[in-house]
Amino acid sequence: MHIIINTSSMVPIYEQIVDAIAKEIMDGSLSAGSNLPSVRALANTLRISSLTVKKAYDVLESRGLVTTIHGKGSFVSMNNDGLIKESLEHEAEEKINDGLNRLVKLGYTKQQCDQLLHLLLEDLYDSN
Amino acid sequence: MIQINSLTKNYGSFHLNVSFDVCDGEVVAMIGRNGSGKTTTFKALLGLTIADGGQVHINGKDAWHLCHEDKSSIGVVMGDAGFNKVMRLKDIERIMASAYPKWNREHFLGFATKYNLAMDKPLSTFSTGMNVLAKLDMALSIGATTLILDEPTAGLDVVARTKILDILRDFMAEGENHSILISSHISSDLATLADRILLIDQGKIIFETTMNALDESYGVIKFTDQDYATSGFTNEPSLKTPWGTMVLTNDREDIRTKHPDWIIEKTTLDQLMMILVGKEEA
Repeated sequence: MHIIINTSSMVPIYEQIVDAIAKEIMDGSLSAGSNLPSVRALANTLRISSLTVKKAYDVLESRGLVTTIHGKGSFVSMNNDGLIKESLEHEAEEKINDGLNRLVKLGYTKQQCDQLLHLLLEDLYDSN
Repeated sequence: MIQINSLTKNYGSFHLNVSFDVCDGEVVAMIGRNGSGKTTTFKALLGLTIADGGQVHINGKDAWHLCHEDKSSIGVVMGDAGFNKVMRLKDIERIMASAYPKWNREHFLGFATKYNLAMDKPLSTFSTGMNVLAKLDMALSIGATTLILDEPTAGLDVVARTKILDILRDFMAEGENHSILISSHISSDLATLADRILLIDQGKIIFETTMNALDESYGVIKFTDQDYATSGFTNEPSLKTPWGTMVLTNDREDIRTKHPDWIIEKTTLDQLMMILVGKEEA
């Protein structure tokens, strides 16, 4: 596992760990059934508090990406291709939602948001 | 596991009164200014100074009436306590071996070799960092499950401090029932080790949080004096600085969404201390 923590990022450290591990599960560097390091071991490696790692593992478990067996440790869940996709889609939706919320707070109307999304989409597909 | 209930100690106008727990598997850090009561708390909980009241239980037993074997489950490093500096580690090893029933000679020697601590030179020839390592070696070799460390990194350079912190994290990884109570002035040390922070001021714990909450929820908003006056945050804990005002919040993300133009940072322990106890010196 390769995780680098950005301590000056506004993203909470546990979230950085969740993202890094989810990414490795997604791209196949962590295969289904493989063992994650113990909470304390990863905390030692990353030089952070173990409660932070525990929280990251809990989130991964609640998303169905990781299974923890008491006394045996945490493993990458089996048959999780669908779950990973769902989890990533969910995350992307949340980001769009955050952005839209911000625009609405700045006074954008529904129509203006719609126009902006339209423009951005056109740019995206044109450049590809 | 350490349980402290209304531990009190009075010196003239100074009154200590603290209650807190350190659970198994947990690293609790006590921070506070000089003279805020950290060392008094440590001494009183260990019975090194007679408390005026309260109860302390370590691993379920009354800490002031522990039998010899119970004591060997507690490793202590205090700033000014230790063996006479004319002694060598090989002398100390013999004393510790006869004093502690669970003394682990292999661990003691292995640690000394790993960190280049000479067995046959007097402690007076050791650097500050080596002296701390030697004390830590003793505390870890008695078979302790609970470590109580008062300012173990004081006066050490960043390389030596990192070494000490790695050793402490290793200790935590070695047993699920291991726990640490630690105090330090150097907040960046605690940020990478502690699970929970207790801020003590004038003998009382005035603030408590987990490092997770600090990382996820807390933030410091930086205002110019003008913006501060109209921010609606003038009743929150704050600190006036030459450039403006810092305000502590425990809902960073909410404020970031509502006020995307404000400058908000994650809260460091230094900022936390300055905002909550640094007022009169600002």
